[in-house]
Amino acid sequence: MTEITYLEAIRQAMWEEMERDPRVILLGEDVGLYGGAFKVTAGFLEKFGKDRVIDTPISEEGYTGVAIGAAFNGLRPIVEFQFIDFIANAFNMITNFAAKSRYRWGAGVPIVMRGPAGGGVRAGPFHSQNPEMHFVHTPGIKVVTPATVADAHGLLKAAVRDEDPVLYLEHKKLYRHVKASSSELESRETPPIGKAIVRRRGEHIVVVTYSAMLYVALEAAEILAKEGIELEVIDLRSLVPLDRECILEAVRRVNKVMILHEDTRTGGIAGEISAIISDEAFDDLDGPILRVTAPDTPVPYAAALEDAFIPRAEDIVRAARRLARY
Amino acid sequence: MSLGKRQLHELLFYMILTRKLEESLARLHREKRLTSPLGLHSGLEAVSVGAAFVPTPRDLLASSLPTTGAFLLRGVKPVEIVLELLGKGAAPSGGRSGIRDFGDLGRGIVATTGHAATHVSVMTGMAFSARVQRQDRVAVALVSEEAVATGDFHEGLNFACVRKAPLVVVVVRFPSAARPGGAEVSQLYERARGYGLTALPVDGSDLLQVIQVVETALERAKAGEGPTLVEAPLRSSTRYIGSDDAMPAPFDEAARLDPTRSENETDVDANPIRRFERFLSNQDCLSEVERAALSARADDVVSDALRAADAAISPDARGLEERLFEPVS
Amino acid sequence: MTDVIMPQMGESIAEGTVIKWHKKVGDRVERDEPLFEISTDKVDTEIPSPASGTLTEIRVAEGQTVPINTVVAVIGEKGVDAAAPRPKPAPSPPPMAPAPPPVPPVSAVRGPRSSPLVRRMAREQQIELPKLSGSGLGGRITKQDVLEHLEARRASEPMPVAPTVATPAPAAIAGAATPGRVEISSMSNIRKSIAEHMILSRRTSAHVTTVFEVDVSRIVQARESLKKTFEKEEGVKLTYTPFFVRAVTSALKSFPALNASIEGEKILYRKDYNIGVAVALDGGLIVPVVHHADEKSFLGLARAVSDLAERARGKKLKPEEVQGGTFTVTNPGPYGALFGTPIINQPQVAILGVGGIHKRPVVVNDAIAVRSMVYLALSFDHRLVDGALADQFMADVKRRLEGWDEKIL
Repeated sequence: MTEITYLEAIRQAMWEEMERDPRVILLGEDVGLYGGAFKVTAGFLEKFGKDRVIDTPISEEGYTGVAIGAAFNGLRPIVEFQFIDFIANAFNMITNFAAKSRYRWGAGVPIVMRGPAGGGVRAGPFHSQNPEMHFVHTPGIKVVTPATVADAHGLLKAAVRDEDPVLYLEHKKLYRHVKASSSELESRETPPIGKAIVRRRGEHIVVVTYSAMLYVALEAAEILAKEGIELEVIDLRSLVPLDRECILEAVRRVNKVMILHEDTRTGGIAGEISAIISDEAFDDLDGPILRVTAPDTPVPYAAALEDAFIPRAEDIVRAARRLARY
Repeated sequence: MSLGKRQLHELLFYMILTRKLEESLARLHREKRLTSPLGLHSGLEAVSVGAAFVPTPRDLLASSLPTTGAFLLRGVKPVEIVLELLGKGAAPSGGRSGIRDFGDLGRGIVATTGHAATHVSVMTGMAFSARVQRQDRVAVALVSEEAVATGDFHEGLNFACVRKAPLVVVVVRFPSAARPGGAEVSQLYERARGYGLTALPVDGSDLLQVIQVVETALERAKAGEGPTLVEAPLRSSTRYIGSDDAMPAPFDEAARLDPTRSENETDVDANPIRRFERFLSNQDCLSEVERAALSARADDVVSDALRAADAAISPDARGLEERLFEPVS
Repeated sequence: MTDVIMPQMGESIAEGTVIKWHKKVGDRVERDEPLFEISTDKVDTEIPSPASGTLTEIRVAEGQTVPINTVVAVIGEKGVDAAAPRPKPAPSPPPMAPAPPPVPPVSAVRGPRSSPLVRRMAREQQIELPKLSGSGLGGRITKQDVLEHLEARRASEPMPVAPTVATPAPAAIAGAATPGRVEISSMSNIRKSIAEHMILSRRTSAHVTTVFEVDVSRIVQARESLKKTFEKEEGVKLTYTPFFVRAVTSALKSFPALNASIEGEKILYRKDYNIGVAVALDGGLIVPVVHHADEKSFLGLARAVSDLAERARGKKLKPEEVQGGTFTVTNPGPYGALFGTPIINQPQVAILGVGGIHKRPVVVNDAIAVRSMVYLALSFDHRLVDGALADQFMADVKRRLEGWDEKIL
């Protein structure tokens, strides 16, 4: 039984889709000859050729536009942003062209936009961001955030097969640190986009989270279990569409909830989920809805600063103790 | 390309129709029945019709200019244009867009976002994907010269050159009087050398020249020689955007029938329709009767379109949230 | 006199929440002794008293958040100020707390604090919140407090659901005559009416109970595999009740004597099958009726049962919904009883008590198998129904339940 990493799962998903469907193409900086900044596309150029694996100039807006045009003309492009932070350069193309085409004139844009997001690797403010909310806020774009190896694999395949623009945010810290057995991938079906999953059952407090923070939540759960506080941990997997039912069902059952994300506080999805819960499950709440998030600053570079920036298990533990006592 | 008399008359018809349709839209705007900024330019007729006439139905077109003529030639009906502007439910976009953003892949038109040159890279993508899928089609993008300043223009064109995409970019240059405070730009076709890009200048007010040059560009593209830039300055143009602007010079038929008014050659050169009429009548291909018939036909088409669009109803707000995503089966 | 303030635990911290007071107003406190506990963004910590003296005033209650440097309490000199708390809002003990609350309670003016969940539970279960003591922060009533209260309430009342075997108690025997300590309370209306009905029923019918053991494994399996889909697609919670109602209704068609009434010397065989389903309420029970149960599909039955039960608990039943029953199904509740011997719901002649469903080892084809078993107890009126008939009816019900094959979805 071979063990594969989260990065390897992404690679495998793209390879499988490109083999399966000749319309799938890949565009990005250094994806061809160099094999990708993280080597995730090593070997792709040799296998699929230069018309399907396209080394682009440094023009995020331009090559995202090219991908959109190719999508209109029947291809299924995967657009890579070497670091997801660079997606900012393609903001206009994504939010004004890709997101609105189906709504305006019935032309769907089946592209996948992917890139490494998140911090914790001392990469500084421009290589560690979590830009999801800019796109969650734009109607017409789906957003997925896999945390496990199986989801990294399955959700990327689902994204490629989706008829609409999907932003696929892979977390760079998970690349080589999260592993699973390859047989686990084989036995899984492609998970649907828009469905969350309960990773841990608990009766005292629900923690709603996604991406790398899943592991921090589980770590906190182990600590709290020793104090008799049992966390229920929900992995959202998708931010758009959001699995409201999963969240609400848990809140109705457990009655105390907190939302955890590595994204900064203001305008992060915790606020949105909070509003949904308060709107639709008010009478099921036995305590306030808490948020554990990064503060409202750019991602700092120095280790001491970045460690204070990214939520840690102890932050969750403290919040949980407060909520449990409420 | 050799053109028979019927085709020549049709080309003239479309130019006249374009002009008359736009004039009626400007009138609607003045009457406050259209409220959003309109953005029309008279004098565009030769580029509009010429650049859209050459490509086949399989080819693709996108324009961020108000090239009504181009849309008409691609099969968009005049009533559809008015419906879009009036925001009616029966409009092709269901009231969600406006004419500037008209799109229909079935008719080979890609909607732009109205931003000057975002469609250049999208059309590059279409062209590139056509080549790799061995489809015999070319992508044509019309932009105004202001768009040449944007990053989008250069990113798209750069990619197209590197990948030899079958793309034609037509850059329309407005005369300085019409250009809103832009700085003087040198000949574009000389700048194009920096990209290793073939660039062809043409007189944008001369329909036949436009047709000839666009034809050359398309042939190059189909032969795998990569993108071509067509630089098309207009001799004259009046811009109409907001209701405070002067109405475009009307397509005044009465004037030409008045023997006491002589039309000066320069003015005729600057007016694409007049210029083409002069050419046709010099070639004995167009009698006054024939011309009047074309003009009258255009009048009928326009009034039918206005009447039909007027009668149509507003979109149903209950459909507001539909078609954001493909429905999940 | 010393002001006790909310300390600043870190540079960027602007406020703190009082979690717990270790002392009450009037207590003696020594300098450096832990006085209260706070929670901030960065850390939770115990704060020692800044002085020795008497805690004369607590200004910030548990659960309240205040900016740093706010005066949260005041310590006076020993003997001075201790007896005269200032008129400013100082929490005083609630007037009717049944047990001394472990923490300084909230202001009596506001009443105990509770969450939306707790308030909803109180509404649904008819609990008066001020009667509870809260174990949450600041004396808040928590979900756990409500659940514990409900437990205690159920335990202290006689089994509300199963009409128990009532020893005929002549009204003459007064409890007050028995020596010993006693607490006297009046009967609620619902209790009075239950009491009357039970006595009347026992005096009217010749009660006999017959008990059958039924293997409901198939039903358990059907329910387990379909209950989620049921709930998701139909929005109805699938309990075991519709299964039993279904089996009983079908069997009654073959045994009309069980669906009858006696009037003087006449027997009224009812042609309608209106099955009553007993629902436990706080302090009593009520029997809403599923009219024409034989005409409903399984789904319709499940929906009707669920809807009636919900409205019964919410006290939203219409009068006609508790009338016209021709047969009743009841159960002794989830407390572990094997079966009860129910009292007939007049003017009917029979009532079926359904016990708890438990997995038991049973002999199947000379081998031991684990099956889901249930005891069904039928109380019937021997004036009309003889034992043999009752048993035949029950055998039919048993057969239908054990061989369940109706598609429920």
